[in-house]
Amino acid sequence: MTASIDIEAVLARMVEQLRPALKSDPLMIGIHTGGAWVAERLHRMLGLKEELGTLDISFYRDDFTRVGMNPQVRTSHLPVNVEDRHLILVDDVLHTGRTIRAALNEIFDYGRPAAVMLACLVERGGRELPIEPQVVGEHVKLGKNQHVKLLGPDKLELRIQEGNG
Amino acid sequence: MNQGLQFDDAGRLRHLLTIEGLSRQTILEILDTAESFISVGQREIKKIPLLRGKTVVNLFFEFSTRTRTTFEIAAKRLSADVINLNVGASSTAKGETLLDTIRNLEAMHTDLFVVRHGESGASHMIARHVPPHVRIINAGDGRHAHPTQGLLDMFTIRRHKGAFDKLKVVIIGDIMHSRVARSQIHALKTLGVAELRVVAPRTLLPTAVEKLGVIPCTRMEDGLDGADVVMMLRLQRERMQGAHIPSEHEYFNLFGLTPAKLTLAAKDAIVMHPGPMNRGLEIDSAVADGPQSVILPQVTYGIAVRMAVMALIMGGTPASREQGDRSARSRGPSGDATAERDAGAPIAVAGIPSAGRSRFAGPSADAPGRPREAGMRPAASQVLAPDSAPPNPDEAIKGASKGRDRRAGVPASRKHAPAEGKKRR
Repeated sequence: MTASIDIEAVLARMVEQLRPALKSDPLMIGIHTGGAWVAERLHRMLGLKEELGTLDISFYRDDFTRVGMNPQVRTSHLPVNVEDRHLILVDDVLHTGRTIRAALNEIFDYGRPAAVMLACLVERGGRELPIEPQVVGEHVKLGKNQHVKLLGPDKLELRIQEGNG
Repeated sequence: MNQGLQFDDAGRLRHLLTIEGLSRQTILEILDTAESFISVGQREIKKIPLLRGKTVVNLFFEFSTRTRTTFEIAAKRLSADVINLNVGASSTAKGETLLDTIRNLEAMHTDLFVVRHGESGASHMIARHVPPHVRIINAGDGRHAHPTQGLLDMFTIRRHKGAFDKLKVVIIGDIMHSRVARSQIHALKTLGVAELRVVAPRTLLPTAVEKLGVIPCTRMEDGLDGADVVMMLRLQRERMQGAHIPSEHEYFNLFGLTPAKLTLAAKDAIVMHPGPMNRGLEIDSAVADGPQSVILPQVTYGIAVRMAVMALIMGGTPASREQGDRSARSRGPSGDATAERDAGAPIAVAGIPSAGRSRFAGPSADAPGRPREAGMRPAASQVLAPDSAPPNPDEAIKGASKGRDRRAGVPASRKHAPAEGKKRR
């Protein structure tokens, strides 16, 4: 069974939730790969002036010693100094929270931001760390064998799939 | 199936001993990974936690500044703990064998050894005898290989010149004594450059060097003509014990890279040198410091490339991506599994004396490798390389042979350093 979610509506909801945060002149950062796609859309919809940042958290994963390097590491690109800035960290699916933990570690290796806000397209439960998003596009309840996947980058599409993801 | 000393059963890179036997895909993967490490060196906190809690020992039996320092920085940027040992001046001087030194450092729970040694094959010998979870990187062994230098040179070429298949590359200088040249040649051939030439006086050009797929030249004009990449080598005076060149002045006149000679190469050619440079001997200062020189960027890239190699062999990469290239790799005369097995070991090609290897070969070294070696070694090379005795044979040989005697009592699992190491991960 696969089910689809209306991505435009989800993005619109996120934009509404993010608007109040604009007064602190935030810097937006997307996590590779899906998070960067979502961040690109939000960045455009919100009309942010400063260049979008991207993070590849491969170097900060906590399972490196078990699974090794991801062969396709993308370069993290933070165009603006994060020191004392308000950041909006964007990811596609929030699950265990480990990706966000890794992303926060990486961000702090670039500097000390004033605040970090977490925005995710989909929140699916199953947290293993005390990490909660401030902005959520869609909450989904998934069964044991289900997972949610973002397809892109040209046309974003959210799919809930059955299987051992 | 045994896929060579450098790989585990799943085809993952375990040790980096030589570029020979690495597939194009593996080399490109290392270069891509290095690309993403470049940014780490440019940021405020130049450290990532990949190798946190790992112990890296830089084991240097020969002097080195650049290589040792960049390995040290690379390991530190990956958050590993690094110990530098200049063994020439330590226990070995008191009579300890090489394998004893290694075993003692193993007992201190070292995870990775970076080894430089004057003997060809030293890193291979160590890799054969360490337990499965310990990794080895060859930082230069005799005249055999210096794989990370070869890789950082490829990284430099790709960054400055782009696709390899359109490039004419020339390597100039003391090809005979250069482990760097051998690593460069293997890498460039694997990556498929359009044309690869080597230039040296006849006395410093190994015979049968064309078997490696290069075009030998004895005149700078022939080698430089239209070249996109000019790779200079250091004249290794310390390894020369015969009359290879009439005089240094003469060498500079004929083979030194001057601005005038460089005009023969392509207008936008880059000039590389692995360092340390002998200014006024193989390269003119005006070229070394000139606009076409990428010699200092090479040093910077060396850190990222060494980080990439360490990260890849310490983490182990998923899946058996090496499989596809297996068959292409067995280019020994026999072309059978034995040749594959040996793909990672030093082979005497084109006048490289392989004394080191045969002396180092422990009981686990496969006999079938040797006939091939003997067959490929041109007799003339012995004449050309009268100094085929390794530069500092005493300590190394003593270490190797003593170690070998004792191997008999060691359990088989340790002898072969098999690939069961995955369990530890």
